[in-house]
Amino acid sequence: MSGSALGPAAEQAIAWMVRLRSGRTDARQEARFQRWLAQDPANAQAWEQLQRGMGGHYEVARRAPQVLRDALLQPQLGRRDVLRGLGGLALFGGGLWMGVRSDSARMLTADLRTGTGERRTVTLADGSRLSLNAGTSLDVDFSAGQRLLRLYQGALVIEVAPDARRPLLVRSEQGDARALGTRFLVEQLQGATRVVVLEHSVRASVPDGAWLDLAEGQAALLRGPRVELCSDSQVYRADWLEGRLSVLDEPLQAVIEALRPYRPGLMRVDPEVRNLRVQGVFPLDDSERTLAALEDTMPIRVRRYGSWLTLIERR
Amino acid sequence: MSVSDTSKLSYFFSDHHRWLLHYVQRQLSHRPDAEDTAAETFCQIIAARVDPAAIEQPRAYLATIARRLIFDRYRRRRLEEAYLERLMLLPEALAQSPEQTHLLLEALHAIDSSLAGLPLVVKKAFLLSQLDGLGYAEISCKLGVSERTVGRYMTQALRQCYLSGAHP
Repeated sequence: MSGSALGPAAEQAIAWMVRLRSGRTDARQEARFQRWLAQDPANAQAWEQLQRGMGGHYEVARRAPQVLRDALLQPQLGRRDVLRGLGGLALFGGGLWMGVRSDSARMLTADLRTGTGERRTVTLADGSRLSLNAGTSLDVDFSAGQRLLRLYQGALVIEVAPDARRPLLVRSEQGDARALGTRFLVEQLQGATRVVVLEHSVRASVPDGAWLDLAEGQAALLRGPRVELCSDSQVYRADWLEGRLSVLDEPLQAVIEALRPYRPGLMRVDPEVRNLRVQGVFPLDDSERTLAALEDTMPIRVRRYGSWLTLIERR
Repeated sequence: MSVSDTSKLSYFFSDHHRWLLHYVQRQLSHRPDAEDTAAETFCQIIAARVDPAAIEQPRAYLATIARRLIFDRYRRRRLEEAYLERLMLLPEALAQSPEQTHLLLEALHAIDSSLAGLPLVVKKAFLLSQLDGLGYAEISCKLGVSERTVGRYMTQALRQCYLSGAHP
């Protein structure tokens, strides 16, 4: 290819790599390569840079099963294809590949919504008690045949009023949680939905028909075509009802995600510290105190730019 | 960074964060994702040590950075989904621990970004050489192209590797 932006040493390094990888190298060629390498420090430098670009990550990938590595071989999609949607069409973050709704406009016009730091409990027309975590939006759609809640964002706990003729369903992007006389939690996560049964039982299902009945204390994740039963009780996930965030060995990123709806402005955790493990109980309504507690006990530093940007990075 | 730099940046963020979040949310409807991307956009300005007062069209500038980050996130999401789909096909014995999955996904993402924009067949040729250690004769059989073409594909891919090796 002509018009390459790379310098001559780089192009030569690449040409050597191409030759040496062919599987047909002989000793003479190897000797010529060594001469080229020694000829000029620029050559050695270019060779080193090329090696770096072919290093570390490939080592990791090489050890992985073939089928997983093949994830790299998907048809190309251009930047333009991705960004063409700018101007209204929600491209992803929710239902892109499943073709499901979830655009921000719908969230703004939802029947019930809570803002930053706001929790609310309401009584629905049928007498059910519905509690919303901060940053939650949903639509209420009651008809003669069923009681449907569409959760777009955030988390809810519902205490269902019995009505034998009209089942109550909470529908998220991934599937349904159907009350079997009960109190339960539904939380919209990224690409998944969490269902936790606080009393009695719930039938959790995904659109293609897979379902699972969950008993009191059990929890499941709806993800893709599956309903995955969680191995431990997750009743503590409803602790936001009391303004507490309980964390049992989770990555820092998950803690910050839980704090997000309680804090105005933008927050970001540096990828380097995202997976540090956290344990503890934190106050949701005082995010400053929670951040200070995390800073005290972990190797992190919290930087604030006014009240609109908070960065969490390695200390 | 001096106190006055920090306060200049704070003003800049407070002027534009709402607009930027709205802009990003039009494409990333999952709110936490959108917030993270908007914050990352500002992070890049901090890292680049740009004087916010010197940016002539701040919103166009922010939008350019944000679009690149959105695209990158999109690539990553697609890769993760492909990975998870494949993970489900694996026999029990090859199951990956969360830690393995994390490491491998990081590596795959880095490779994916490094090879971004290359035609699929070029990637295939390069990965057969780089990950499987095949010679060009075997690769040419597998892909149904001449050995010379394999060499050309290698050159294309290696140019991008060279560029991603720029920062140790």
